[in-house]
Amino acid sequence: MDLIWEGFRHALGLVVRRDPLVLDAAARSLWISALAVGLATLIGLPLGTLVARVSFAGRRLLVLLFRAGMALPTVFIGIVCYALFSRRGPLGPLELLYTPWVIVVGEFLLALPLVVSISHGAVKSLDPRVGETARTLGAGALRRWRTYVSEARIGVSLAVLTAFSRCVTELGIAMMVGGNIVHRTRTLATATAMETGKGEFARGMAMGLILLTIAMGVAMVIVYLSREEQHK
Amino acid sequence: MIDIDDLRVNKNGRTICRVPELAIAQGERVAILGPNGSGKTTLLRVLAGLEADYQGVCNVAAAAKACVYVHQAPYLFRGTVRFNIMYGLHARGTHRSECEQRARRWLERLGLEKLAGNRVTHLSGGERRRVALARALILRPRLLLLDEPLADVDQAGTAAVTAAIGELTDSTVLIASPTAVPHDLANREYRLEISATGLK
Repeated sequence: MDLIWEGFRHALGLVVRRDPLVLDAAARSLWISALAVGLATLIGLPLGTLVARVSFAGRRLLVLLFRAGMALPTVFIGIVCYALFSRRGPLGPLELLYTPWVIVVGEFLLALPLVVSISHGAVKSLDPRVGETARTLGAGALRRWRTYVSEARIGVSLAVLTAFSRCVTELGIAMMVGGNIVHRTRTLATATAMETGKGEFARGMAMGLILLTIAMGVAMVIVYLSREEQHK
Repeated sequence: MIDIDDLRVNKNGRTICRVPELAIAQGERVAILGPNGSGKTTLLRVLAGLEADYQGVCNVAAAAKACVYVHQAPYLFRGTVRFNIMYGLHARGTHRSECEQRARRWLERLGLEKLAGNRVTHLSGGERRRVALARALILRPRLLLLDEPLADVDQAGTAAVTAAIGELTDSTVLIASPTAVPHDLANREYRLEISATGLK
């Protein structure tokens, strides 16, 4: 118990004193995850809306695949990215392995099924009068899409926040393809694992505390938005 | 403008709407009357292109394909009253200044000017209906389909709605209602009856 309490005290001290290693890992985690989720939203939101509103052959299979993708282990995505970007892989010439960019790719693959599936559910559950009203008022396809997203904005926000929360706390992808290189690919999750393994419990705890704070902050916003959606 | 011959809409083995014959000329105001379940809403939805699964003939003149349908329980988009009223104009690429000008006029016509900046979540049922009407009327559609437009609307609102619709001299207007509508709104009536169960 003393170990935990001591570690917690030192961790708070590192955070308050803005330990450079802690801040470096935190900043990197945030921008990598934000970029990955941003890209996943750019592609996943139109895709989720399209699948929700347009009938086409294979739609159900596509929905099933994306829903299954939500449960993919991060280490599996890491292995796939490693196979793609290693020297012998098809994307090896890009030399992205052990750079932050390959972690962005991996977290994009992690976030995409989440954004597609949750936004699909949000748009699909909209009142059918939304589309009917927009259509009879003369809205074209693009404006109707914007209207769907606007009317389902809480559900869409939940999709993005859930994806971000998953990405910022993931370990498997960053460890497999990032290499946990200090000042280059070290994220909060990989740093927590490494520092704790080295016996630097305080620093590991500090990283973990920041991760926990981010995750809880996002969770609180998700809960708040979920309540707003229920009271609509 | 509209030419219907033996129109039938079936759902779950039951005929929910049957129109043996109906012809409506450009500019006519027709009240579609009938009890609940007689198919008034279904008929309007077929004319609006929202129901494609029907038998028989239903021809709507090409220009009227761009018609506006106002639901029995209208859906208002998130945002303000003004945003909703201008929605169709924005969708059709109308210049912003013209949108604002026309919105101001229709807000006044339907007694909504004090509610212009209010969010639609705070509106009463009658106010919501007037907003939906303003949103449709502002577009001056060639074919206007109104599903029970006077439900939940008080006397003053009814007078404002009747006057506003009366200004659309170039539009063909169909009004679905369970009871007779004011003479100023419709110059002709067409009655629907509830179809016998199981008729196909």
